[in-house]
Amino acid sequence: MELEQLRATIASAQAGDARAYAALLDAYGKRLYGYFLRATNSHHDAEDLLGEMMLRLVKRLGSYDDRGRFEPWLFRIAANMIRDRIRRNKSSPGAISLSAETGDSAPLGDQIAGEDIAVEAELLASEASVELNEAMEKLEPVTRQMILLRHFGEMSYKEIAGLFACPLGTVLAKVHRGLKSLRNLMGER
Amino acid sequence: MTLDERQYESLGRRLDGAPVRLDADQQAAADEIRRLERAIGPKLDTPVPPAAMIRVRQQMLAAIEQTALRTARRPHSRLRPALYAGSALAAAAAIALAVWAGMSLLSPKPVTPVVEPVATVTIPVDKLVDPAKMDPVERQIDLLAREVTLAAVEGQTPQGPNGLDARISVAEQEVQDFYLDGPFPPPVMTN
Repeated sequence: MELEQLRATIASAQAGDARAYAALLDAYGKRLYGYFLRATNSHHDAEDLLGEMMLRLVKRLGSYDDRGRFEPWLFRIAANMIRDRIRRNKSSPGAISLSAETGDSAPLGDQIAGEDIAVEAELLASEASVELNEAMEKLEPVTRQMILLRHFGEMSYKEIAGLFACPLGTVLAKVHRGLKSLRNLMGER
Repeated sequence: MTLDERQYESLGRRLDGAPVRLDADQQAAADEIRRLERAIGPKLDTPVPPAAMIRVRQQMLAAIEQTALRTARRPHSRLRPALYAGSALAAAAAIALAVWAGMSLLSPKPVTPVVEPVATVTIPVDKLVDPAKMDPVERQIDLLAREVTLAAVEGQTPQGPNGLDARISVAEQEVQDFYLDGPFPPPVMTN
């Protein structure tokens, strides 16, 4: 979405225009869903978090002003939600792969009705996706978050450093090492 | 190559678009980071199940509708400043009253003892100084005399209709009446 169009859409949404909120969901929904999915490794949690995110946006958009960029503001809220969920699930088992999401042998596709089945089956069948998920799971959680926010949030390294309250050099060191780990685990060149 | 924190910081500023000069190692690291981001980034993307998006949209629209209904049920926004002003005045009056009441308690007026001494008992000084020397009857009279004197000194604050508590209750009622029946008409509630 172009900057001027984004500003106009945000202003309309702040005034309560439902169509403006729908436009924001269309513009950022895929990136937010992707972020939540890679952060939790669960389609169920990703949908749950996306829904909660939009509800928070309805409540909090009034507090957003034009001084800062919208994406970092949006993904800062998303990152805090992930952090809160990780804290709540601290005693639970670690991130699980998509194929074991239900905890039993039933394929994930059987859990979702209608047109979702085709998409889910494609994802499950994608070796690269499974390989990537396994590689992401092996990363240190903070490093994983930084890489995901860099990609999905399109945040600058300075913004990421501000979000995690750590030096810029530390962010770069973690991201560099994390990307190299993913490359090695996935056989990238 | 291994970079230190300072080198990574310069690298970060350069990758964020700042015109920072990099050495050979930093430049190699920058190129590697960019290459890996381009290779791995697209693999992170994932399609959203359409049904999931529909559910999220419906949930969001329902929340927007509920928010709009809640806003419509509140008192008319024009009356809100008046209500806030009335609340502030009432709060200031209550605070002033509390301060006045506190000051009154700190410097109480002399009170008229409720119980007056019913008898004056004179006891020889030497007996007062050494109660052990008193006989039982004199000791009993001495105790009674002390109790009577103590009651006269303590006294009691009158709690009748002109008492301090009653005056505070009257003042509280006046503050409440001001707040409820002040110069502003009560809000009209509409559905």
